[in-house]
Amino acid sequence: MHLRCGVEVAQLKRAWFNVCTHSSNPVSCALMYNLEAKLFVFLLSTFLGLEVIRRVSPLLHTPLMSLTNAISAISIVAAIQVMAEGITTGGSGWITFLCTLGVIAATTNIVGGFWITDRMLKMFRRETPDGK
Amino acid sequence: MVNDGLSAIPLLLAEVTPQAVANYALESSAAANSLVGGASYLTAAALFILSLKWLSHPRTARKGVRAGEVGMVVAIVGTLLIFQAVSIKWVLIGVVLGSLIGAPMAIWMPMTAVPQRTALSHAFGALAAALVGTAHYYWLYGLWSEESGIKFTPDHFETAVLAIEVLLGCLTFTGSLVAFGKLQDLIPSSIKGLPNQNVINFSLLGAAILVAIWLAVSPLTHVLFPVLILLGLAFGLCLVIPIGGADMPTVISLLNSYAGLSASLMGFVLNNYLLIVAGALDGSSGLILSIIMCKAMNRSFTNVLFGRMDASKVAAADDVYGGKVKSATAEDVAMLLDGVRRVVVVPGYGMAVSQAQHAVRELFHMLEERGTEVEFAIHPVAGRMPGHMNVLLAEADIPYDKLKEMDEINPSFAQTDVVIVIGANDVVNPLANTDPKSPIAGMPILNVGDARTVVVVKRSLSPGFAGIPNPLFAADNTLMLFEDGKKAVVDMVAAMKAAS
Repeated sequence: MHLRCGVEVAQLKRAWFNVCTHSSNPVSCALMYNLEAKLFVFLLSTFLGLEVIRRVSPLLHTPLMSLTNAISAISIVAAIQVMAEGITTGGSGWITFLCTLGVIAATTNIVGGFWITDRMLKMFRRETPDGK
Repeated sequence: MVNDGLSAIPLLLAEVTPQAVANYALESSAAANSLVGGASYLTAAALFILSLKWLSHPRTARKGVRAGEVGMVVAIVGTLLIFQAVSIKWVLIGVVLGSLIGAPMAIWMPMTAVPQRTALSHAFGALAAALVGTAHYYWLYGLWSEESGIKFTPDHFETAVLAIEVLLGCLTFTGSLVAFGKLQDLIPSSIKGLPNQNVINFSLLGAAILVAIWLAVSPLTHVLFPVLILLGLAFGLCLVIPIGGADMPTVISLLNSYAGLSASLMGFVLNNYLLIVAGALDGSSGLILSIIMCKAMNRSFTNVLFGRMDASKVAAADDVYGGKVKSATAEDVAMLLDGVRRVVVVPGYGMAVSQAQHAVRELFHMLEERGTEVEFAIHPVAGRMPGHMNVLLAEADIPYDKLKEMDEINPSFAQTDVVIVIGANDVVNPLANTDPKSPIAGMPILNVGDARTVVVVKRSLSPGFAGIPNPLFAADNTLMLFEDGKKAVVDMVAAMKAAS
């Protein structure tokens, strides 16, 4: 925000890290940081989510919840990112430790969530001609 | 925060140090990788949206699960490509351990236990978000960095978002654990909280918000961060402890929404758009489900979370039932079912508890073979989570086109010969329509009383979750079958077989 000559070490590291990891293109890098853009994405995904999910038949509300639960385990991506940031900037082992716990918790939901959703959906069937 | 990226550009041009150049050389492949990474994020986001879209119908639903799985793998691979500095060893260890916990929870989980499993997985999701948020805070403010004495301009906005994210994660974590404990009967449902529960809850929430604001104003006050975590954990605990039974579907949906929101906020902090999108999808799904659940009970969020059921104003059970209840045996019901044209089965949580769904399938086939039309009436809040009954009946091999929603089936009760209510109570209580003072006033119900005969399978006349008597049980056209749900249906089937 305020650029001075003696740029603080942490900020330099942070900025450097973010630029060279997220994108090599300064313009798209600036976009990544744009709060407005993030709010737009959040708003649009929420509305899209509301529209798409409103159409889900009440029949499937339980699988819907376990599927969205598995999708929200996307926080595994956050765990990996924060772990990488910590390691790149010589952060303490605690960061790796917490993030590993995060990966464990998220993977539990990914594996369990998708699996049980499929198990449930397999059971839903229409009436067959012989009624069995 | 907002201008950080922009400031990084001149910073790179002007302040490039030899070490930075060396880093850049090392990461010369980073550009290509981040391109692939960015593309993978876009693909994953699209796949998640398609996944939910395909879930809208049972025919395409399994394709939706596949899309979600592929999206998740693409997202993880993309992330590993972008953030190559990550310790693959620890990620792998995490993935293996997580799979070892997650797979058994999916393979051997009985379908009756799906609500518990869902609550537990909300706890895991929230835990992941809270842990990552905590790690990020300490990384940002250098407390755990090996280089001490780092000084830099704190970012108020980012810290505020981070504080809310961790707060949501923590309260969802303990809240979901309590929900799990209640559904699994580890925590007795008789615990209704302390007399001043709401005062305690609001004080905890108020304190947590104050701490979050303080942190946003002065992000370097590390000492407040653990306080925030503790307050979040305590609030989640106190919030869900007094909520029980039939309110669980709403609570689970709401916790689902919080877990998603927390992942989305993490995306704001980490500048990760995939997190924002996936979290928002999860958040909106939880929101829709909780709204549906609230409407199905004619209650508001505040009422579910902070209101207490008050059954004191309702007529005493003796006045309602006094000598008017007619009881029947399974044989009577079997005779009643002989030669009828249309039967509707109303399942409730009692069916899940007594594991009666497979016996119900027998009954279903038997009636169908005799040319009777059989349908199932599913109230939105029947069971302990949204859609719970549908899953149980699907597991018992009942075709899903026989499972009807409340609005769809209500007009047809008048043309129904026999309604069999199995372990449902409040969702068929006519007081909701007739008594404006009752705790369930205005709740949409299944109008089973319109049918020619109603058979209620129930162990006793004990009230349901709302704690009020049910005049349906004393109605002229109602027969009570006092029996465990499964045994009652098995006996019915046996009696029908014997008679034919």
